[in-house]
Amino acid sequence: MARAAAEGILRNSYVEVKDGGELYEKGFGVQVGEVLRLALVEAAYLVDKGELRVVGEGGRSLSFQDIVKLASRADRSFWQKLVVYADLRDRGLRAQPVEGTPIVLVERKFKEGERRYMVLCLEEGVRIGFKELEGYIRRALEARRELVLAIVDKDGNVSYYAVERSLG
Amino acid sequence: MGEGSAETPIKGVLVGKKVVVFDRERARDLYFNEGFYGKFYAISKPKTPNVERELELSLLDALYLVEKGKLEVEDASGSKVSPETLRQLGRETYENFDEVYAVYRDLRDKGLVVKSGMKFGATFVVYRLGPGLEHAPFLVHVLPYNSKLDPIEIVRAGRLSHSVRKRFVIAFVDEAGRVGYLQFKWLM
Repeated sequence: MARAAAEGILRNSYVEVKDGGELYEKGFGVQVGEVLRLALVEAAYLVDKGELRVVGEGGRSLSFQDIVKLASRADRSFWQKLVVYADLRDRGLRAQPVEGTPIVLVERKFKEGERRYMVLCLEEGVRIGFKELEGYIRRALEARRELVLAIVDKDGNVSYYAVERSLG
Repeated sequence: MGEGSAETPIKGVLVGKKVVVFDRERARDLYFNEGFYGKFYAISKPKTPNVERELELSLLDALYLVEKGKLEVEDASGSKVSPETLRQLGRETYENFDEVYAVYRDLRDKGLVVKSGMKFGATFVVYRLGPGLEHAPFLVHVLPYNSKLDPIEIVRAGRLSHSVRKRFVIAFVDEAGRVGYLQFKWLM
């Protein structure tokens, strides 16, 4: 059933939603005072799903395309992150992008309980050093999350690999 | 612990880039009691521990055993071969011998059995008990610390481990000389 889409206003690098309670319940955005603040990745995803309408500060309505273009001007890897984010959401997982990083946080519910992941978006062909990788492992550990690499291939398909220290 | 550990060191002869133990009894001990070092000449997989053959050691095995005082190496003319010479030969044979050896030593020091992983497409195959004695050994692939991983290598590692049913681990030696091991597992 088509519900009325929530309405958000574009601020610089995020979207503010006044009545975002329902979205918040589904794990979208962060509550900042009275309003729900959505990252552009979330906004693009929700606009595409028809669950959100975004207007610019001049009152003009922004399409999925508008948001993607706008966000990509500031962040060249925006599309990759969106692809991974959408893939995770479409798998029914609660995902939350971390602003300014290639990271998406994910919670996955199992019968035995919840597992928390830190998903790092990587692109085929873009190499990652061991030092950098160790940095992410440490960061995930500190956040009590499992590090998962989301590898986006040349066609935009995503595969997920868990990384852990071994033979310690 | 093999009972031979307190005995005089085993003698090995450097022939080309291999060290051969001609004493068949000591060879058998080194293989079956000390941690499955080397490979018996002309026997691919020994089935019973009554093998009567010379044992061929790789430079990695030989250097490690020399460092542990279990082996003494001489050349074909009978002159003593130093560990440094073995190391130098290793560097001529393997591209990144020092890192490969650091990983080998680290694994052996953990009490693990380290064999060539060539046929699985990795540097080493690593057993807790020994070849043929367990189901799920590790494949350990050594990469230079500064080499940077192409995500496609991570996928390959994950896929390979899935298809050969062995845990695939990438090993590296960091700037401080510490050995790190990362295991990749396909999730979805």
